[in-house]
Amino acid sequence: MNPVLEAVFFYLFAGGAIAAALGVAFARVPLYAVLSLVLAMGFIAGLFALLQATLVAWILLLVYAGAVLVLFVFVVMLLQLDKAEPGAHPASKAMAALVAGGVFAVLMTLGRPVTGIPAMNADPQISGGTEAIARLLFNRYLVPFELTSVLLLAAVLSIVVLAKKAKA
Amino acid sequence: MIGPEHYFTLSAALFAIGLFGLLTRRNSLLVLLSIELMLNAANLSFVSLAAHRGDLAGQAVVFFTMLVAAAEVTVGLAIIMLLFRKHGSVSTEAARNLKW
Repeated sequence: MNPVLEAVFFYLFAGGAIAAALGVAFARVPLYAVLSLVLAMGFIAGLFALLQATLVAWILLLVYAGAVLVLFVFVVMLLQLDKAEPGAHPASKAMAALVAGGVFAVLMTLGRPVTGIPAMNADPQISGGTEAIARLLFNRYLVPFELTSVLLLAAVLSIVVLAKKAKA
Repeated sequence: MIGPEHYFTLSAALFAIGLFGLLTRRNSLLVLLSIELMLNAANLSFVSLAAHRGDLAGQAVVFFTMLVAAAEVTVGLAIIMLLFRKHGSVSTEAARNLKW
């Protein structure tokens, strides 16, 4: 892709993702926070597509923005959480800002040099199409992939148990 | 030229914003929402490093993260529903005891 066009798209998606993330952290009305996260997922999926990771971009849009966040909206509306929540105490807000800023500083000083490690392959341009990811999942990661079905079964069973207990 | 360090900075910023939300929110539903944001910030750095290093394993990890996050959200929302039925509120301050 044209590097100028790539930069334009990156800053567009990055700015949108940051703005939507701020909405998640600061929106007073719970429904607006959930919808901000839908927006943030959309921008992050755009960044994935920019990185040639088409399969995970589509999964993010369909499973996350589609299914998981609809579940969130459903719960928000079911519990009628339309009232604005009382804000946190200013002192605890300052403390949280300090902790978050500290974590950001640590990530930038300790984690960022990782990006400087040179690529393993001569041609780092790879595409994460469905076939390439499927080959990886069904060969090298076959056991963890099969184990996820156990995890999903455990999640389904736990929800059935939780729902039953509430009725009794 | 957009390099992996740009993506890493963005992902660290999203993670920090999510952490701030996690620490300040009192509505347990929005705490869960902030955790989702942090998980996806980590996913972003996985995908960008996978693209940079020419190794698809980073994208496979993201696939697993999304699966675990989907399971986590469904169980978390079920627990929040129970919390609301028990206390009539989803505030984190309402959940004071583990047993009922």
